[in-house]
Amino acid sequence: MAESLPQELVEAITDEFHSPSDLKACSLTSHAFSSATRAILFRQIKLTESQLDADAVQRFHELCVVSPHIPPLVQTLYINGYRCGPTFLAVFDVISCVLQYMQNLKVVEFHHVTIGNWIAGTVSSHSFREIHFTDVIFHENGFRQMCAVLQASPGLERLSVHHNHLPVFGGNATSQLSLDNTHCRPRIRDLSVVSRHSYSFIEVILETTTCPVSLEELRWFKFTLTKANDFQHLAKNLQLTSHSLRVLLLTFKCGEYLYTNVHLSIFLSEL
Amino acid sequence: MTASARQRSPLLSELPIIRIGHLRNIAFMVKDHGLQYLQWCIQSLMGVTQSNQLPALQFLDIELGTSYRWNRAVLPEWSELDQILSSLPFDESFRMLTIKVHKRRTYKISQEETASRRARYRESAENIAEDMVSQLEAQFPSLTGRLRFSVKEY
Repeated sequence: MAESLPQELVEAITDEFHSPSDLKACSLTSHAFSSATRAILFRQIKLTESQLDADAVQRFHELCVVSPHIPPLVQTLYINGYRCGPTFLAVFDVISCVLQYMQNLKVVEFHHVTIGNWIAGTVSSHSFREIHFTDVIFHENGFRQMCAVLQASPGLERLSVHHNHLPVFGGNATSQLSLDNTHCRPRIRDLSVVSRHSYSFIEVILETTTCPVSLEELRWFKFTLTKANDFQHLAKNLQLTSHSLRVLLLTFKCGEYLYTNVHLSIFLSEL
Repeated sequence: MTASARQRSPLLSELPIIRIGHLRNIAFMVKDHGLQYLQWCIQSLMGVTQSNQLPALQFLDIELGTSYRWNRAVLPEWSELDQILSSLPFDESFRMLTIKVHKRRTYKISQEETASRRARYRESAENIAEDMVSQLEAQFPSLTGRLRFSVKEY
């Protein structure tokens, strides 16, 4: 009977289900419901602590091989390597293999992972709409590869970089980033930056002529100010985006001390 | 203006006045010591009033963390903000100032505390937030109708 229902009605019914268990049950009722619920069930894949062991990733890989219609349904991939350490690197070969099947991936979120050369062979063939990095450690080569990934996403709209540890570039940062200038830089619309390290992503954005993204059409900017230099970066960024930026969200987390450009410490509680 | 009557943070001269005249929505959250950031924001708003630019600002959201409750809600800065936003060139286009006050969640209070002490903490947290909202509300006589408060548990 369900087979005779119009597709719009099937989709309206499946839209009412939100929990994975309900969606799974619904997908088993008939073929008509199966495709509609799978599109929701596999829209976002989360690989966290428990899913990042070798067996689980291998099973996921096998599912992709025997059901090749599943991976193209994935639009968002979330990877959290917290507490995984070497385990994460051990399974990443399989994950990179799986990623090749996910041709419609639009959003990628990395949390608590170390990014090195592996990123070049995994996500570089995708064009993303959103990229999120949180608590990511970039090896110098990994950072260069990440910039290449950004450049290879001409439709990139949203970028968030939170608490990432960037490599300290010696000397002129520009010379260290030998990016491929044949690519157009994606004109991002939303940028969220939270930094607690000495050399922050915002400095790379503002001080590197071969910056991987363009802020020309930035409309929404979220920024956490953690040190005195950040106020200068904010002023510079607002100047750069004065014709496009409409929304500014600031968080002040300077704590008790601000360190100024001339390395003077100011005790804020006395101000 | 009360600018000359109050003590300005010496840090302000170190911080750049940011150009915010083109922004439609500004939100800032003060987690730690807040006064100097409020002064800095006011300084940047005054920069707009002193320029010939027609401001685009419609919404200003200010979020005050729990540590801010130790500062007095009655500050000349709030009155100054009230005057700036209710006067030209902001007056016509400015639509809403939202101030969000943080309230400590009860579950963050140690489980080892007795029930009566936990109840007292809860009551105290609610009173602090409510007192702060009512004190703040009195600081914005000119923005009546364009002022909203909310209390957020964290």
